[in-house]
Amino acid sequence: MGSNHTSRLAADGVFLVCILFVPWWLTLLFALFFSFAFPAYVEVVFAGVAMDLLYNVPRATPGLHNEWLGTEIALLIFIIVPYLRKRITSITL
Amino acid sequence: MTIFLRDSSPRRIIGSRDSRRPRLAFALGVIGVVAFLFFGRYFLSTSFVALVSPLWTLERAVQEMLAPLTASWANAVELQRENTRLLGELRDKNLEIQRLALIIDDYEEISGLFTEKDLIYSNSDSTGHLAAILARPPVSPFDTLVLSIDETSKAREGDLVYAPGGILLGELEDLSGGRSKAVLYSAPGEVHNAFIKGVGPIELRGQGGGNFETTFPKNTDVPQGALITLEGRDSILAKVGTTTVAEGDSFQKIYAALPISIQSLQWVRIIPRD
Repeated sequence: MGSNHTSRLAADGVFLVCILFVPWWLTLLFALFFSFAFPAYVEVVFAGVAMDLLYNVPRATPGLHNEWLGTEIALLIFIIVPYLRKRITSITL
Repeated sequence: MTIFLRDSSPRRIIGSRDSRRPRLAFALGVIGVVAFLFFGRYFLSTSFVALVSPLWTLERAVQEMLAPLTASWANAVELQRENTRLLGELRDKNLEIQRLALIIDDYEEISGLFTEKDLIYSNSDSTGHLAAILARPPVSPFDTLVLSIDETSKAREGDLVYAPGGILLGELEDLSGGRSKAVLYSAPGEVHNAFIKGVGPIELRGQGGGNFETTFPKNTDVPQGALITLEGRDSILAKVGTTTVAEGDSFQKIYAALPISIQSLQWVRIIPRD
């Protein structure tokens, strides 16, 4: 339990560094990886909000590109990955 | 008149006032969070950027500190870096020459309309004020820059952001307390009226990552490397890359890109819009 908490905290630290310093696509890969690795990885939603607040700006642009795009993608990951995680576990077992 | 009362079995107690209270609090909480995120976005965003920017400043300082250290370990690396820097400078100067050539061309075309003020403001390497880049693509997924601006400067939202060589990158947004974001014109969804030098006017659409796309009638020759300028300004926006024509289409698709690498930029110049 303790080691689980420690590894999750370490993952959160890595995730924070990713948001601030590494290319966004690598951050996205880490988001997917951590969402698979930890149950109910809600940090991914906070990361999405953080990406939007740090880098996104409200512009009158049509289509998918909006000021909460990062949050929307993070919510999708948060909802879909646990479902995939369950299925993948049942396949491997 | 007969009144039928609903079954008052214990299951109904679920809907009682006491049990509804947490659900109401949850709904109000959600509405509150959503309202705060939408209406308090500017405050949240500027505060968060201010909170995080010391980390980016630290990153810049560490990079600068480590640069000579690593160079003393490996001279070849230092030479390579110096070579890259000089090549970058040469490219910037070449672009500056091309931009000045554009001004001269325009001056010859509309000499009566060209004022001294236009010349001063078009010389983007000597006017305005500098801003340090704290974060840039590809760290930023939205083709935006996070900038550190001198608080005493009179920068305003909507001011223009230039790279060395007079290349117009985008506009200032979310300015607060010496921090700002700049939206690049190449950001997805950005559409601007532009002009391919020697060809004609176009509608330039941002594709992200410093890339653009536009269309033009296919029977017109659009030379590779032709400069694209923003309508009404002698500032280089992009350079024409490749063109493709789909069979049966009367238009050709033109792909263009910024003539510089955003990743290698450390500073930009802010020029007032007016």
